[in-house]
Amino acid sequence: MAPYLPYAVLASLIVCVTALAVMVLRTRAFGKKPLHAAPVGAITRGIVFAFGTGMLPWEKESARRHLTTYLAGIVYHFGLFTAAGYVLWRLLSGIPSGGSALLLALLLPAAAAGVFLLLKRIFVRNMRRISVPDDYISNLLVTLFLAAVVTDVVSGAFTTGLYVTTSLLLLYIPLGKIRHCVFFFYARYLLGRFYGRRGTWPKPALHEDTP
Amino acid sequence: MNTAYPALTILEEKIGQLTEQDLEKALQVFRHSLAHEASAYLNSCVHCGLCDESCHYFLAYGDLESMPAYKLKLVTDVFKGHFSRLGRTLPGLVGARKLDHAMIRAWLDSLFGRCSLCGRCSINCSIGINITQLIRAARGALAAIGLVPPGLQSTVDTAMQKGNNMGIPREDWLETVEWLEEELRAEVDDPQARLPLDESGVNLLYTINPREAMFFPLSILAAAKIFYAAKESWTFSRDNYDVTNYGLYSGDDAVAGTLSNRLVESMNALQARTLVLAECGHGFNSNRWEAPEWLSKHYPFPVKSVLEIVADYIRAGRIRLDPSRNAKTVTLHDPCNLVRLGGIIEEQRFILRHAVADFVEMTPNREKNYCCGGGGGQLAMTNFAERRLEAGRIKAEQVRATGADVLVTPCHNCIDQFMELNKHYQLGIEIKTVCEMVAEALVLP
Repeated sequence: MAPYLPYAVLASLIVCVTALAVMVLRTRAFGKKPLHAAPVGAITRGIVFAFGTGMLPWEKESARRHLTTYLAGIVYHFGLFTAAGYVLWRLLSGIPSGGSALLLALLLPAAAAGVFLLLKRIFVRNMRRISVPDDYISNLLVTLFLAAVVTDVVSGAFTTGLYVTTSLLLLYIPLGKIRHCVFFFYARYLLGRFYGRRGTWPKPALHEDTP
Repeated sequence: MNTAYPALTILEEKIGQLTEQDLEKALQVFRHSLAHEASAYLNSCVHCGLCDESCHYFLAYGDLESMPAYKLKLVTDVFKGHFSRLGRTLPGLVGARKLDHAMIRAWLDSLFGRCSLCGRCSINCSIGINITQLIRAARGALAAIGLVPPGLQSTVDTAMQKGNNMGIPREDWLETVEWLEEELRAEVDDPQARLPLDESGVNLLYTINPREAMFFPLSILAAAKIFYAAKESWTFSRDNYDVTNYGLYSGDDAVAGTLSNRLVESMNALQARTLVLAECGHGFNSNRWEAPEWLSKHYPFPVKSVLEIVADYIRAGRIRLDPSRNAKTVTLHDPCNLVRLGGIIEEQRFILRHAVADFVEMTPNREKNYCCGGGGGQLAMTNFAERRLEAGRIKAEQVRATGADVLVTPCHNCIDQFMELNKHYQLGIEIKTVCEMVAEALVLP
C-alpha cells in the first residue's frame, strides 16, 4: 500500500464534509419564511414521529407495499454504516478484521441488496424512466465500496483497493444523490415539523366523551 | 381544435405563444416561492419510486406520468437546471433540464392534470419530501404566465371579481338567507329563530362554500339548526361568506392571500371572536394554515372548523343527539385538506359516534386516506375530467367495501366528486355532510 493512501482518504473526507456543509449553507441561503399560523400540535413530537414510527412498515404504506425493496434498503444502509465504521477502524488501527464472521454477516447481504436495487432500477420500466446517470453511479460506487470492504475483511490485504474506493466514494457523495446522507435528515425534520405543527403527526389522542 | 376539450386547445395556443421573457418570469416566480425548506426537498429525492402506489392516479393508470416521483422529477430537474451550480455544470449527470416549451407542457399535464395536491405521496416518501408543496410552487410559476387550466382560472377570477366563486349576486345571497330563516323557523317551530347577517360582537362568524347556497341550501340550514339548538351567538357576513379559495390550487399566492383576507376584514369589521369555516376541505387548509403565510400575519382570532365547534357542543352538553334517528349504516370520507393537511382527524368521528347508530370506517382512513379525486382544482378543470373519474376508482372501491348506505364527508368538493363517482361506479349511496347528520339527530328542547 502506498503510504499516502490513508491521507488521501482523509483529504477526501474533508472535501466531502466541506462540500456538504457548503450545500447546506447554500440551501439555507434560500431564506427562511417565518410561520404565522398558530400551531395546534407538538412540533417536537411530529419530528420524533417522522424519524421513528412514521418510517415503519405498519405505519407507512409505501414501505409495506414495497417490503422487499424497503428491507433491501435497510440492509444496504446498515451495511454501509458498518463498512464506514470498518474503514475508520482500519485507518486508526491499521489492523484488518481477520475475517470476522459478524462483519461478513452484515456486509455480504448489504452488497447483495445493492445489486438487487441496481437490477431493479435497470429492469423495472418505470424505475428506469425516472432514473438519471447519477442513480446508477451512486449505487455502483456504494456497492463497489461494500465489495472492497468485504474483500479486505476476507483477505486482510486489500488495503489499497479499500482506500482508493473509499476516496472515490467520498469525493462523489456531494456530486450526486448520496448527499441524502445529510438531506434525508434535513427533509425528514422539515416534514415532521410540518405535520407536527398541524397536529397530523403523531396521531391525536381520541377525544373522551366527557362533558 | 380539440372539440372534446377546448381548454386543451386554448392552453396549447398559449404555450405556443410563450416568449423567453415569459419563461424567465415563470422561473423568477418559481425561485421566489422557494425558501430553504423547498430547496432542501429539491435536493433530496433519490428516485426510489416507493411513492408510486400512494397516488390514486398511479393506481388508476400505472403509467410513468402519474408517479409522484416523476411529477417531482419534473420540478427538481428544472430547479437543478437553473438554480443549482452542479446541475448547470453537469446537467447530464443529475438530469437537470431547462424550463422550455416541452417542460411547460409536461408540467401542465402532470402537475395540474394528474395531481390533486392531496399530500398522500409526501407521507409515504422514503425521504420525507413535501411533494405537494413543490408541485404547488410549480403551479404558481405556471399561473404567473397565464397557464392555469381555464376552468380553474375562471373559478379564481369569479371569486376575485364577484366576491364568491359561484358568482352569486348579493341580492340572491340575502334572499337565500331569508328563505332559509323561514325554513328554520318552521323546522324548529320558533318564530324567533334567526340566520343573522352582519351582526357585530358575536361569538362566531360562519362561512360557507357558495355551492351550498346555490345547490345544497339544506346543509346551511343544518348548521343554522345546530347553532340554534346550542343557543350560539353567530352571524353570516353579507359580503364575505365564501370559505373557498381556489388560489390554493392555482398556486397564485397573491390572489389566494387577497381572497382569504376578505374573511379577515369581515372578522375585524364585525368584531367576531372566532372565524368558523364550513365543511370545506381546501377552505379549511387555506384559511386555517396557508392564509396567515400568504398574508404574512398572525391572526388575532382563532380559526376553527365547524366540526371543532360541533364537537365542543356535544362535549359541553349544549346539544343533545339521538343517534337512532340516523339508523342507516354510515361511513366517513376524510378530505385530504381537512385531515392529512389540516389536522382535523378525530372530531368528525367523535361527532358521528354520537349522531349515527351504525358507523363504519373505510380502510385506509384518517391521514392515510385516499383522495376522492375532487381536490387540487380537479373539479373545475373539465379538460381532466375523465382522469378525475378514473382516479376516483380506488375511493369508490373503498366505499363499496364498507357496505354503507350513507357516505358522510365534511367537504363540498368531495361531495361533488362523490356524486359523480356514485353515478359512474353505481355505488347507490346517499351522500351527506356531518352537519346534516347532526341536524337530523338533534333533540330540540
